[in-house]
Amino acid sequence: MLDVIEITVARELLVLHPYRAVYWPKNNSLMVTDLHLGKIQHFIKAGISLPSHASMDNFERLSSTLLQFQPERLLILGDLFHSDYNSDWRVFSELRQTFAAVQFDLILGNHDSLDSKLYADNKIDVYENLKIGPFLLTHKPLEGSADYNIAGHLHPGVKLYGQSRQSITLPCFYFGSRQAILPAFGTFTGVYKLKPEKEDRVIVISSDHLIDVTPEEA
Amino acid sequence: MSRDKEFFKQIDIAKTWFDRQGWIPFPFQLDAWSHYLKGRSGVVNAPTGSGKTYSLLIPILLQGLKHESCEGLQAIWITPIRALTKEIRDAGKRAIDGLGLDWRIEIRSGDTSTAVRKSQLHNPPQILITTPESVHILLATKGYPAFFRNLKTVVVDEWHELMGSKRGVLMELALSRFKVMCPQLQIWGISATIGNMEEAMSVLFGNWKRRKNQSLITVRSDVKKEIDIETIIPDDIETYPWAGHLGIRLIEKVIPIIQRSRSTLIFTNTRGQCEIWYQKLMDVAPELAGLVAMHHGSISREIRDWVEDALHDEHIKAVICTSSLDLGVDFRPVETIIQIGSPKGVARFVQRAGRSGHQPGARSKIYFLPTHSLEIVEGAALKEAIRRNIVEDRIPFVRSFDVLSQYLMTLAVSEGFHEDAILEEVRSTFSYASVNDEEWSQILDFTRSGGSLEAYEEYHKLGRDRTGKYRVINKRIATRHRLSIGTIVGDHSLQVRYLNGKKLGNIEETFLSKLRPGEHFWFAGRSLELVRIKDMNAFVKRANSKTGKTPSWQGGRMPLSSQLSAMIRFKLDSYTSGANQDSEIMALDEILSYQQEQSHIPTEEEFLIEYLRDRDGYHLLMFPFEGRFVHEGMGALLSYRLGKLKPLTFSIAMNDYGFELLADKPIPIEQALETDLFRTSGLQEDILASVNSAQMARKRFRDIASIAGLIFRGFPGKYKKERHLRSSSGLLFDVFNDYDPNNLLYLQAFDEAMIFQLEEARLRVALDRISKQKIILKRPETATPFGFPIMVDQLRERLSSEQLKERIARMKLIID
Repeated sequence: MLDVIEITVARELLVLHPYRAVYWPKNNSLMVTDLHLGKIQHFIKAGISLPSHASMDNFERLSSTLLQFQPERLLILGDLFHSDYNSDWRVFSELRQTFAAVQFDLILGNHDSLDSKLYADNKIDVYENLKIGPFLLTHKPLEGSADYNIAGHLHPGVKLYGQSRQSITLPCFYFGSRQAILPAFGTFTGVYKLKPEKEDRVIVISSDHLIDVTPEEA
Repeated sequence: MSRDKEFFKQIDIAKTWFDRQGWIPFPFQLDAWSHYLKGRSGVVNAPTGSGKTYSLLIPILLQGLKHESCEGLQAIWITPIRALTKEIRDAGKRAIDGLGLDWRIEIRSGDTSTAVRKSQLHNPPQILITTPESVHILLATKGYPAFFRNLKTVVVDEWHELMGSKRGVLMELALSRFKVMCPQLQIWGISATIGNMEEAMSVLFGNWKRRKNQSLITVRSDVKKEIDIETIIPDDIETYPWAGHLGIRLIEKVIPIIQRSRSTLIFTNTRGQCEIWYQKLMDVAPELAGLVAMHHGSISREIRDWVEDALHDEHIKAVICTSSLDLGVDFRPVETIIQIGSPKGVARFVQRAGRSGHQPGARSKIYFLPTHSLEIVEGAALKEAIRRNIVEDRIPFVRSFDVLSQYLMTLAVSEGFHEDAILEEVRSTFSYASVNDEEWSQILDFTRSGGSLEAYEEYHKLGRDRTGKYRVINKRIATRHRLSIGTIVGDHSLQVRYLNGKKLGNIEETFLSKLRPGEHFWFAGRSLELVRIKDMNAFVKRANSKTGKTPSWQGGRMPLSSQLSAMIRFKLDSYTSGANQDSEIMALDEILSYQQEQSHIPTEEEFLIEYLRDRDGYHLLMFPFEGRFVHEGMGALLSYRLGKLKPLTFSIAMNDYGFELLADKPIPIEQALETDLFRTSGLQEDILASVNSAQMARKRFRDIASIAGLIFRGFPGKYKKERHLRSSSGLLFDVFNDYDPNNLLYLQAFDEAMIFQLEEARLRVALDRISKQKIILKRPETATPFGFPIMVDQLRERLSSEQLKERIARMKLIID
């Protein structure tokens, strides 16, 4: 089993998983964002040849985290499907049926342009945003919310610097004082470099490892 | 009339026309005419400005005279650059008129209007002057076999230039199609002399020779260009800098040369250096304003055309340029060339020298301006190389699967292709002769369906028609493919325009994004103020400031060629034996004897290593004189091998003469030298372990992904969901790395990094040489003339053999 990192945010314990998912034990729910399912197929359909089985990785990681944590509820913070309908949705439907007992909630992201009937058929509840306990879940990060905001959309990453001018950019979980940004779950999604501030917690993902790179107090 | 008589009658027609022009054909031209008229194929080996164009244009036209009617396309003339097309067309027109033919000769390139291109398809000229890309666009056009039906000749001009790039591969593939479509075809190459002439021939013709059972001809021009080389030597050698790459300190010596000469081309090695030299020249010699222009690849086509015309018409006295003027228009008035900094190779130096005295028989005059003191040696080395007729090889691209995939799409969007027939044609080329069945089916599957046939049918790009031909299914994909044919991948650059829309050229986004509106910078010889950046345009207005940033452009710094390297080692050797009489070496005496005193100057049998300590740490310097790429690889390799003896972290710096390993702890060099440090056994494994090959391959993958159609380059008349197709080559590289590591395009990136970035073959030869040399280990007190320029280099590569995870753990997040 892969190592996880536990972290307390707004007095709630959250478990970070290297597959880019967050488990919230008290609420028994699993949070993921920016899956961009169907992206590889979308490219292939447009004539751009990519390894089509790359998209299977998304489903494998999603199933495996659902199996590991056995949550009652899956919270998807938007950009579930990358673009127009394609065969990846059928694969996703199968996964949905496998985990029929789990409640699937989707906060719509800017990419989620599928027919709403598809969500209904697959028993996925759709929201603009969700307020659960101390958290306000949104797709795009929200400014000035009274609640602690957990969002996606950005595909956060940070650049790390080593001795001798080495550097590497890695996707990350980011926890600020009023806001958290979760890493994009999907493969083939890229990262957007964040500039963290003091007292922010940053946990990077390097293949299957989580590394806490939060700067130490000077 | 017998065949022979008719043949001589034909040649006489041409001779008479030459005579009327007051010309006498050169022996090599007569040679080429007669081989051509006998139906042979081959290569004309002649430099520019030697009359090479008429060596083949004339017999093509003579052949035309023989036939009653010559409807349709008879000959294709390929040139690597558009700038050359006009000159060839004019030469052709002159000969057509002179010989009394009713032929048309026309240009077809990216600059040709759609209307003209369309009319050419319906009513082709007899001779078409075009580029490899335009030929492939024709092959992507429905009905192309009819267009090429009467084709009798393909001439590939400047073949030495095309051969060293993927554009050469495009040419090989197009020829493989023509050879089958046009059984009467004659193929001729025109090439300047390169080190691997025979290979150049094999690359051009593939296995054609065997099949046609006729031998290929080489026609050599006996026109020998005399080159007069003069090294500009600083008056005060002791104070001339030991390091540097601009050479501005010698600008005072350049001004009288410009003034004396009717017109002068000043070659710099980079666009940034070109901008700086122009700026400084205007500062130092304001009287030259209006008489000097600038020319480089990022300046807009309109401005460049203006400069070329002004030079041709003698409206300007000098042009500061880059390789953008290596080829191209014949500038007859150019009398003098100045090369600033190392030309890095003999061939490039000769080519540039040849831009002056650009007519048969004239002498070329070139000045070499060294940018740091040790570089003066190169002046002597260049003279020696030219005296010995040494030139570099051009390494052809082989097994470029990106180009192959593009080509299969090209055929699929026009007439479709039968797998077996095309495979045979593809294998008949030099580039793809070794492609095995498995590789073929992998690349075909990749082109068809993204490499996984299990993928749903709806995703397939190619399908088979009733005759079994592969054809493209989706019209939109076909249109997009036609727009992206070619192998030249542009950088991410923005158009620089005045507010009225007039184009000045382009600059990389990375430079412009660091400027704020209102800031001043220098470009195309003008002081400009950034007004705003909108879409892909940077709008600017004139500014009048003396200062401002100068853009730098990404782009490879060429390494010193191995041929020139060898000549430098030879010159240093001859200094130590006291046999040297070169003015360059004598001028350097003070510095060389200081090097000798402080350390050593290696003979050809010796290899010099310097080891010294100072505030910065422990410096280990080695001087293979093999060019920076080899030094980069060798530096990484040796730090890896040294690191096995003792855990050390090195930083590596290099120039074309040597490299430095810098450590914060003592380096066990004596111990290392006992372990056969320079061995070639296990070289590949050690390179893979030491060099960040994935990083290099990732860079290479950018072009490959683009050529193979993996990067979506936009589309006229934008489709709504276009932004959903954005990606970067880095992201694509990661997908293949994670999910399809046996993909041929992914592997090609590593191969290209090995061959072109690490120059593995040359590294191996260099290591073999060093292990036979006597190693001289010196411990100078301070930096030596050899070592200093490397030690001050700021661009350092760092090396560490630790695991990624541990490395990350020690890395830090930096908070501003």
